[in-house]
Amino acid sequence: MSGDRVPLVVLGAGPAGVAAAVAAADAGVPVTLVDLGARAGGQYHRREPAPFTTARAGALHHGLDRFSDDVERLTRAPGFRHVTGAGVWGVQRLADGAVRLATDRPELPLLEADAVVLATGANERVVPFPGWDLPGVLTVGGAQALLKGQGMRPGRAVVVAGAGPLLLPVAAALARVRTHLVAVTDANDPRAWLTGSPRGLRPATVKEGAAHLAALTRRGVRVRPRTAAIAAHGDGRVEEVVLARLARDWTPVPGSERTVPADALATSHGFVPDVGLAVGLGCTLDTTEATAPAVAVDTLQATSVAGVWAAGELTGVGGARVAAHEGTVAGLAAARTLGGTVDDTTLERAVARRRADAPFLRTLARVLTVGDGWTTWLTPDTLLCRCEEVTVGTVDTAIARRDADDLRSIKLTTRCGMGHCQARMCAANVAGLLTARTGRPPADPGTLDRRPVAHPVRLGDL
Amino acid sequence: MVAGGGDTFDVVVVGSGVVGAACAYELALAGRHVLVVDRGGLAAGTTASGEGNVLVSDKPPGPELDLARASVARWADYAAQLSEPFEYDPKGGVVVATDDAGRAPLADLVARQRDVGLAAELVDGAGLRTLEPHLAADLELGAHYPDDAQVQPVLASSALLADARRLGAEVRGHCDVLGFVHDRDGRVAGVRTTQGTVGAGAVVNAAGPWATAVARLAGSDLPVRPRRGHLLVTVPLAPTVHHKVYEAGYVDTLTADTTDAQVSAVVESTPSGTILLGSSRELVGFDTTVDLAVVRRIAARARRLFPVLADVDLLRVYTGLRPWVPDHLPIVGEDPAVRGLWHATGHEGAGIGLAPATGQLIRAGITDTPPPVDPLPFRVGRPGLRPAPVEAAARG
Repeated sequence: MSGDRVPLVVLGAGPAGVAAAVAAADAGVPVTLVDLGARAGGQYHRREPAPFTTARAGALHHGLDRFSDDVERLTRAPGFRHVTGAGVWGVQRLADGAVRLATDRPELPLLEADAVVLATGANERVVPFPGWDLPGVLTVGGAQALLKGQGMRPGRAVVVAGAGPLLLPVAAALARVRTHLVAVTDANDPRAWLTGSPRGLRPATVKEGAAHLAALTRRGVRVRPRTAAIAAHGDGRVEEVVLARLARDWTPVPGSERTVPADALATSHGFVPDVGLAVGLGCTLDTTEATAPAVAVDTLQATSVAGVWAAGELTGVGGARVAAHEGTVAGLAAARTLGGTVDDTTLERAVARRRADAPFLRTLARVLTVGDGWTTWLTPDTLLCRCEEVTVGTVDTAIARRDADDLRSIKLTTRCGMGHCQARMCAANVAGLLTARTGRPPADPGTLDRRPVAHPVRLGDL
Repeated sequence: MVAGGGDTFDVVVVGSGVVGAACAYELALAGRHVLVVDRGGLAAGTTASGEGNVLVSDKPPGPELDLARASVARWADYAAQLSEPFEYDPKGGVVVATDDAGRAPLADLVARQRDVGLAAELVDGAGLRTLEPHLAADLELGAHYPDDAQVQPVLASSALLADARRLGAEVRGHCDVLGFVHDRDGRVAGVRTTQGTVGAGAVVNAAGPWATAVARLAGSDLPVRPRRGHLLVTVPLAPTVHHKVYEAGYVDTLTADTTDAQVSAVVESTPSGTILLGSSRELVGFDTTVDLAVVRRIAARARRLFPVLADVDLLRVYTGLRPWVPDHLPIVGEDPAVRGLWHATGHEGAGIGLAPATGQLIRAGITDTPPPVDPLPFRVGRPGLRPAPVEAAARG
């Protein structure tokens, strides 16, 4: 029954996971890096499949060279093993404190580790609106993946609308490859980037933002602040997008609606930590943000469960640079526990570097805010859970007629969150809607993030 | 009236799972003013963790089969009466012998069930594949039970609670019972909860696997222990499994009281298109951790019945705790040690199926009217409930 036993598994090969793996490997600990991708990179350093090459990858990728150097160094580390294309669908903490991982690779059904660093990242959040399920509507990250992974534009006439730090770089990347951008709108005010402590922004970030804005300006595109796509219409696919100006809390300003033609709408509203596997191991969640709980960690990135560290977006959204800082801390801390060579100065320096990210994270939090007003643009037939096709009206009926008053009862009485994505897409929105309808946050935050099967796995492969 | 509390009810039901909901509905029908309290969300415990079995097939002749048959009839009433739908599906059950050793006991069980008038039919291999075309080709003996049915348990509970409310009942979720109020003679007179003290003419303990803890708050005790189970849920697919199908060995796992996981295949579809795969039984305390090894064993047993499942994706897994008792019979009746305290628990994996008649038994007891079946075998002080297991307290 027991599978291979290794000292350390790092789960996720994005910026946090690779940084953790490098730190632990440098400390002499054999690292097993497990990831769904065929190559390291995660969502941030997403690349085209290996047989393809892009002439100027640097034009599409940021900080890729340094990341590639790290990955290259890892492959030479003693005992390093990179398990690619492996979906970890289940986790279990064993009686002796080890962590058992179940993968969908038939040759590696079970893997056991003395310690794990979870670096499972975040999922893009999309706030629903009427018509958001029409073909032609995709996430901003999806548009980016098309561009980076396949070299494809999402459409001929594209609206980019939403919130969060992904908006600007993706709109700019689309502009650079001469996509016709009908409108680019941010539900928040992007000037929020500049209103915090000056220490909140690194010069490089400001420079990067300015370059993105310049790319858009060159194509005659202006980013509209406090504006959102509140509906999409079309016969069989998106043909029109309704834009509206928003109050500070995202309530549409009456009379400000404007309909624009488009055949693609790229939209998302920040990120939600992917805490599913951490929940499966019993890690305590930080539910300060009740709609999007994160894994609670201490300054060494240790979770509440001994032998389990977490780094990157699942501990709170902070971007690739913060994720890498956290990964280094987690890798060092895990290595030290496993008997690796980690001197105090190295660890202290890594912790200090992560601590110095605090002003940036405060600025980021302002940019990532999702206003409560989005629930006012929903209609009863707007889909809330796309996998199970549960509408806002169905959830309202469960609240009214079946006394459903927490996330679990909504799920159990409507099937919301039971489908293919296991609530990755709808959990934050269900929590937000429930808060709006009942006037208080759900009593059971994080309930929809309990997903013992992290992603579907063939019964024959179990 | 109870000091410090504004509200008083004829009956307070502790637990909003299917058993508590059926008790509340039956009592409300009888004109009693009922309060249902649950420390969590509504029907979010054991009821939310099962398949929704309404089974007669797995019960040999005896008091539990009598209770099951009364319940099957009552579920049909509910399906016709209740205001909210709950996916009632009288689809029938198919039991399959998976090895030679299982054939004679299955034939014997069917014969005894037929003797007491239960609809049960032995079927050969060809008959099995007519009922279930995707069953493994080497299966040669089974039994068909047309009276087995299925409900969506949380919808069923919330439908019962919704109509109980229409009859004047109150339902309070996230309201935990902290203790009991007794009168001068020691009789239960109310409960202290996290939302205040409530007066009650009677209290029904329908707390499932947590019923022992509730009984102890009242100064009594029960031998109810949690027995963990795993359920696997596939992605939705076109109709593949038409009945509730399980292997004959399932009946043996019901009464095998080991701490090792007992695994036997139980396979059925739901109206949403998913297929539920069970089952496992383990006495491991209140630990609801998913055991990946058990998940794999269940998948293997299910593939034994339906090889076609190998190519189907597993989508979800959940665990739950069944209220286990030493003699495998529900505990339904008034506590001889604490008057005014009624228990309705110990149904192990059969709570959905047995809930309606349990509610009727409680209603009959509290209102002193004729019961649907003989209540004696289910009484609280029966010899089969002793000795109380020491281990339960240690793990509890």
